[in-house]
Amino acid sequence: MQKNETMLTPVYRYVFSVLDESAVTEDRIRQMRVFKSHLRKSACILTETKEIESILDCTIELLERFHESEEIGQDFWNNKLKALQCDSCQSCYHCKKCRIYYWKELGEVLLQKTNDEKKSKTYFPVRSLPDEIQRHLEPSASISTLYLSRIKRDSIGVFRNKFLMLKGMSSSTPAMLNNIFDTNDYVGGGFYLNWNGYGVAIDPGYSFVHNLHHYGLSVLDVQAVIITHEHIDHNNDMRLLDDLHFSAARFDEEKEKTHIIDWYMDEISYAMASVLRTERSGFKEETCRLHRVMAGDSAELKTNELDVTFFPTKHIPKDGTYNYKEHTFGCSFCCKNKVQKKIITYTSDTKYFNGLLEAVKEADMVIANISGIYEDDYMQIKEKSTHLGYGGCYNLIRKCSEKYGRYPRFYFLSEFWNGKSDIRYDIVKCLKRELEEQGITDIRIIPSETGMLYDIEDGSIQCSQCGQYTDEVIVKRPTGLNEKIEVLCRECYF
Amino acid sequence: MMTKEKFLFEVIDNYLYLASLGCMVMENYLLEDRTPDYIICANNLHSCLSFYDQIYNQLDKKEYSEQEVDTLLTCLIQSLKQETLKSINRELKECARNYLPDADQFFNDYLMHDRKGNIQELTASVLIAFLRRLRESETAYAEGK
Ligand SMILES: [Zn+2]
Ligand SMILES: [Zn+2]
Ligand SMILES: [Zn+2]
Repeated sequence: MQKNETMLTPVYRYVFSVLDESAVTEDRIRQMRVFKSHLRKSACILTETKEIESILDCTIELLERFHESEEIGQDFWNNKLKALQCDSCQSCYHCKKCRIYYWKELGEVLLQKTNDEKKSKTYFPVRSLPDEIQRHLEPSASISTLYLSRIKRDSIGVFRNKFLMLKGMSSSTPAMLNNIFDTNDYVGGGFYLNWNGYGVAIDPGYSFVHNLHHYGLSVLDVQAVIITHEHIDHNNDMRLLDDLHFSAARFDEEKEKTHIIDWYMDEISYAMASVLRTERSGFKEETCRLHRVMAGDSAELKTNELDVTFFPTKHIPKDGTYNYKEHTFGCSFCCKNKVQKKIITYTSDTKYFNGLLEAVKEADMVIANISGIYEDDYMQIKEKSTHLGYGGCYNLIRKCSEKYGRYPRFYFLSEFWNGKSDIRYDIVKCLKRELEEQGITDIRIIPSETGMLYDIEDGSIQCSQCGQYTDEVIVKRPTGLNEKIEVLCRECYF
Repeated sequence: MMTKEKFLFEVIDNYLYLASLGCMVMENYLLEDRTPDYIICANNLHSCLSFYDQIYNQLDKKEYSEQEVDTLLTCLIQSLKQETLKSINRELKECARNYLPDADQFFNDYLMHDRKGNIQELTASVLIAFLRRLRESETAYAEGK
């Protein structure tokens, strides 16, 4: 039996099958009368037959009149239609006036009356679903439900007031490396910030959703998404995230309100989302709010608790000039509670320029996208034109210290290119040494790795082995190819 | 043609399952024993099965057509199902009336329809979600809101 069937559905199916076989003949009418008497005989067990019997009476009468002449049939049908214009049959749990629908359906079959309420025809399907199909359609088999039930384990507690690194490498290198080494270990990704239960996905690039799930989070843990520019290591997973979110938000019927994601996007990513929205292929109004962000804008993500400001970056050169496109940006989060305020700055992709110092000067923690490192860049002969590189990462801290007399306590380097070999550990070590030579000693420089957790409130980082949070971590040199970078507390290291 | 196994499955799936669910919910809600209701369920199951045998006997005697038999059996299941759904609704509503001034509206909004206003089938998950809501409004009432 299908859902939403009424008391009259089986009767309708029967009547329809009888009428379908041939024209209205004496035989057919007799057949109906016999059926009615059989129904009456069953009345001892059927609790509600009044309704069925009365509609069968009407049906038989219609057939008789119709047999007399089509016109008389028509008249009878019309008159009866008016008489049936009452509310519900009282026999069904849900009765959307099943009698009137039945009557209209019958009219359509017999008198070729077109039924303008076809859309509401859910009660009287003539075909019934075969069992083997039905069981695939059962709600219990819905993967959205299963997905939601995993979510309900509620792992968000672990991530409360934390910043989670979910980014592996830049661009499409993970896809290439996975192919070369026949594995799925190489990932791209992004970042996830949670402040007081409000989750922000930052730059959901290639494999972001995969990484998010891997660490026990879901799209319903995301309240806002920030996309700083349209490169695939920053926005590749926006469609997947949106689509998944649409399903999850829709199927989560137990929740009172529809879960909505606020999308803060650069002009190009915004345009991509808008086209999909206009074409009705994603980013639906029900589940998303789209915001076009310009460098210099700011937004209050959570009232009195979480703000973000977007600052300009210089990342994508305008063709044939030394200028840069203006739609790209980096962002600074201001996480507030009653006692303190913490600032986290994400440079995103940008070349180094002095304007960046403004965003870094007050930050407690900075994530800088370093990208590929070349000889000229390391030697500081020629600075990179689209990313920070080694020189940019160095200058960002050194100049900040020079100009403002302070610098962030935690410095994560991210978006390593890794096209040649795993340079992460060595480059961080050199950077640390060089900054120390400049008297910048109170800084923890860490190569970002998927799964690393930073405690925003305490300014500490989780030890990869024991899981404790500590202020002093030691970065362990990875031994194998693409081995994960580990950060260890003193106890675990020694 | 509906086999006995299939018929039994449909009776359980559409009627017994719901009826037991209703009993459990009410047992929980009112903290009272519902054994008499379970006995009614058992008797109904028995009557269903003997109805099946009886009606198939008529089919063998060519008094009933196959189609008729299927229709009558489906009608039986449907009527048991609808009765059960209505009685769960009715009983719960009677309890809720004690503190919900607008119980009809409340049931209509949160049980009969989903939050988009579409009619919804009464299933275990729908019922659980609804009871959670009902409990909330109950607390709100107790707190004098
Ligand atoms: Zn009805
Ligand atoms: Zn980029
Ligand atoms: Zn990038």
